[in-house]
Amino acid sequence: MDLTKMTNDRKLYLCRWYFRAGFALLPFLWAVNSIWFFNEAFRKPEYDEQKQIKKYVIFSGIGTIIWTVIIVTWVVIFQVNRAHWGEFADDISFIIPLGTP
Amino acid sequence: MTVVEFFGCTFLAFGPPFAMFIFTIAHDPVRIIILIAASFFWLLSLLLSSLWWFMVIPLKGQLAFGLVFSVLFQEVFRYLIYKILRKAENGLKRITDDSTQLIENKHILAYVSGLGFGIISGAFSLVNVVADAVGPATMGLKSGTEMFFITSAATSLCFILLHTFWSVIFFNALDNGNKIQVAAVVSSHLLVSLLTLLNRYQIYSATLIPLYAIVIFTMMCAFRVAGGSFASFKASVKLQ
Amino acid sequence: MYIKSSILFFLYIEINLILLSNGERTKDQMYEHFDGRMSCFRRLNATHQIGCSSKRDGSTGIIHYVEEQEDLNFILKTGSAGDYIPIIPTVLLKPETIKSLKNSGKISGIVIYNDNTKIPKHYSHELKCPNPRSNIEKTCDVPWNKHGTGILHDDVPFPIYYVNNEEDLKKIKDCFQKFNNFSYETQYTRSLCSIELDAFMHATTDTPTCIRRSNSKTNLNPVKFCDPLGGENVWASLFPIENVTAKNDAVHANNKKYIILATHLDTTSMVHAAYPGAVNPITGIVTLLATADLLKRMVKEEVQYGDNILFMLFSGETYDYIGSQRMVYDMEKDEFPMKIDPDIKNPLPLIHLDDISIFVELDQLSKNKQLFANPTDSSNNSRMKNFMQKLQNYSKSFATFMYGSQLPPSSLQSFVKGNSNLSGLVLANYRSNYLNNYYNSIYDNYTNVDYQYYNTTEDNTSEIPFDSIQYYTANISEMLARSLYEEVINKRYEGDEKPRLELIDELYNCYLLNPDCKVHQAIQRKKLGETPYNSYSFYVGVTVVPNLLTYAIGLTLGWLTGDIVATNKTCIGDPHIPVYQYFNMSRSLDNLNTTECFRTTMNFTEALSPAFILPDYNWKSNKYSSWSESTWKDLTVRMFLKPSAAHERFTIAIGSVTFIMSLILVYFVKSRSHILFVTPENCSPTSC
Repeated sequence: MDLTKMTNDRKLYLCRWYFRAGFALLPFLWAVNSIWFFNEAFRKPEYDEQKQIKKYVIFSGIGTIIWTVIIVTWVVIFQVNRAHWGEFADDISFIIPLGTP
Repeated sequence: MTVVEFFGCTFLAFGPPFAMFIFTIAHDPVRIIILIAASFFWLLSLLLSSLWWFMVIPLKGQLAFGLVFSVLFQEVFRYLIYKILRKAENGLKRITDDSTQLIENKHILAYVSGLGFGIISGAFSLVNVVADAVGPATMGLKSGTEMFFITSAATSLCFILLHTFWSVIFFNALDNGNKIQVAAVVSSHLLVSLLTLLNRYQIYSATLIPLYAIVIFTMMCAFRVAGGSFASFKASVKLQ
Repeated sequence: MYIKSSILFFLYIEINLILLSNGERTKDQMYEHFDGRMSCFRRLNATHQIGCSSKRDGSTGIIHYVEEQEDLNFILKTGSAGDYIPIIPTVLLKPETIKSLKNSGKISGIVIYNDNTKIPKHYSHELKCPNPRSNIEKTCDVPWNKHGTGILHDDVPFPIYYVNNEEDLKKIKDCFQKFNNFSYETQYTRSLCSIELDAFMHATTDTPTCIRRSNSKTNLNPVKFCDPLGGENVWASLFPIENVTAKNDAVHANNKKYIILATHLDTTSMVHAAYPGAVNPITGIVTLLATADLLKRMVKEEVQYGDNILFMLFSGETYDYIGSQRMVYDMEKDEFPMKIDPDIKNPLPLIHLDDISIFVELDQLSKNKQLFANPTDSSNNSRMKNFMQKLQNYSKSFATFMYGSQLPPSSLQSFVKGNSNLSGLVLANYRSNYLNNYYNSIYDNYTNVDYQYYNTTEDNTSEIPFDSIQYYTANISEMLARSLYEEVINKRYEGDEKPRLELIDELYNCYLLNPDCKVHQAIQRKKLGETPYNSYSFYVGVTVVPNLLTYAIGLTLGWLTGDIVATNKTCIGDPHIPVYQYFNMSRSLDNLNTTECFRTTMNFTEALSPAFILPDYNWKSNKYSSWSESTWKDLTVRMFLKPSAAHERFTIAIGSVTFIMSLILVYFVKSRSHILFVTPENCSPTSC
């Protein structure tokens, strides 16, 4: 989809739906939304729908950051404690590396 | 060949052709097409050489025999691509955005097809070495020396450049009907190829030094043929 | 040399496949491959991992050939070119060495070799007291294996490889001399001869962990991390075990008592595929087989007997008595000799621990003037005393018979744990310290039992000297056979059957020197010598790979204790009469080509530790053996020339400089091309 060939309310509609769909545990959608509409929100000359687009882009961005923090924290905790947790860690692993405790 | 050696050799052999590609070829789709067509012709010559080698069973062990015929096949295919390019000139005129330059300066076509010849031959010579040599080791346990990989890369580079220059001279010679230059290209190709046979004695300097001497000489010839002169060289340097 | 020019030749001729198939490849010029099977590998028990593992893609190090301790110290001090792999003689493989190498941080592996001029006086990496977790109390107060270093039970963080081949060793040594063995201060500037040991082990931590991970349901890429150690126990009865006709009687058996003559089938060593096992277990196995053979001939005419005799050979005894623990477990669970199966009309009577009247175990029985009977605590009854008296009487001609004070680590330990009232003894050539200086090591080979093959026939055994191991084994088996005969028939043996020296000679030959010996030909097990090491060895192995040697020994026992039957045309057993198994085997050692049908009482039972079959076994309880073996992809070793860091830097520098220079140059030429190349519009190529 080419944003340049789109009407402004169509853009708003898209941005809003991307933002809403992100609540279905889809942080990447938020990440895409915040990057894709970044120019529309901040770098284009003002137009009516821009304010709302800006709002959605900012919220998507915040959501992305929160998700990133959560995922990174979990990955670190899991990697550090995997050997220590024993059975529990194996049960929640999809891939168990060879030759490591 | 370790990872470091691998990158060293790849940069050495393919760095210069990559630079040439980026600055002189990549911006024009027609040139890319010609480059690839030239590569394809080189591959055809390779196929023919291998068939020939395969058929002449008694001389399979003689490297020099296969080599001489391979050189001849390559030159035949160089002639063929010349013929085709000259035939296609009118068609090219129509499709290229940059037609004035490409058509007015005939050397560009020669240069592009020569580079295509060179890149593919260099790739084939080096890929065989690289693919077989991945791992933690270098040459020299049973035979050879550790300089083997870097010399192979240098030789590949040498052939890539030579093919480019040869094409420039060759195309020009054919345009002008200059049989001596054609003969010079073929015979220097033969000479250079036979020189590599010396590698079996592992005196790499004995091949590399003459090879690069020939590269420089051929380069100067090509430079002249393409319209360069000492004066123009001086002029270009002065401009800086 | 050929390859170099041919590679350049590839510039012109691309018949890669054809050339590659008949020419040498660059790879072959760069690497020298060795048979990597003789590597140390990882085993696990309920709490630990032992053995070695390399890094994931193999551990690489610079070769340093070591002859003396000083050489090793030297390289630890002066080595300047990265990780080393010292090539050390077996003598130097000591706990101190391993510790110092571990701490140095300069070592990525060890290669050991056998120096024929310096065979160690003693060499055993087993513990001082084998199987400490599974013995009855106080057994380990005695250092049975007093020279044992226990390295076998260490977790070594780098791979260990054994070169047992003179030729390979010479290649390593030559390469070391040519590239490494000079001006050590500047080693880092040279390309050095290096070796890569790849023995990457998949399992870690302990058996419960690896079993759990192997069975993990969530793992997207299910891998087996480890396999339980185990194999099969072999057993046979002297007289056929009487069938029980009524099903219900099966549980109550038939009040028969059994004398068990047992030994174990396995040994171990530091490295895979090198398990010679001459003293332990081969002397015991051959003695048992010779005794079984003699007893069978002695009782040929007898119909009336008291107790029956069971011959038993246990697998995996080196690893916490896997075989005997399982046997005891089966007896307790009413599953020995076989599970009660309502379909079988004539089931075998169940045998329980209470039904064992005497348990005689044969341990290490290499030549010694003294012979020791180490009885269990409950052997203080008149029958045992009487039996031991008989043994003593029959041993007078060749050895001094003495009583030991304590039960050594042995299969009997498992039975005593199951039934503390068991009367039994371990017959061995030691009292409280093994005479075998090479217990469970690569040096426990034929020289350790002083064996020489005489290749005799039945009528001509005079070549075999009286002080040979063959005679010694024959004497012990005669002593045992006569005493056991009296125990079961209740009278003195008056016949003239003797142990067969040629059989004993042949059996030792089978197990020590030549797997394709006459006995194995006789039992129709040909080409055992060609089978891969791990399926024909005195190492217990894993249950998923059948151990061909166990089968061969079982069939040999069947052959020696079986009867030739003429009536059974097809030579196939009747599933409803499980007491007999039928096999086509050669008539005798002298007549290998005549095949007869043998009816035997020999059978196999599973020797897998109960820990792996009990669904909710508590691993921490230590009740049963928990040994497993890590899986691995490959055991490979290759030698090559490792480029020096200086050379690598040189290559990358040349490459990068060329690349950058050419970028600049081409850009320059391109931007000045209108000046450089003068092509006036009216200038046709011809006139230029």
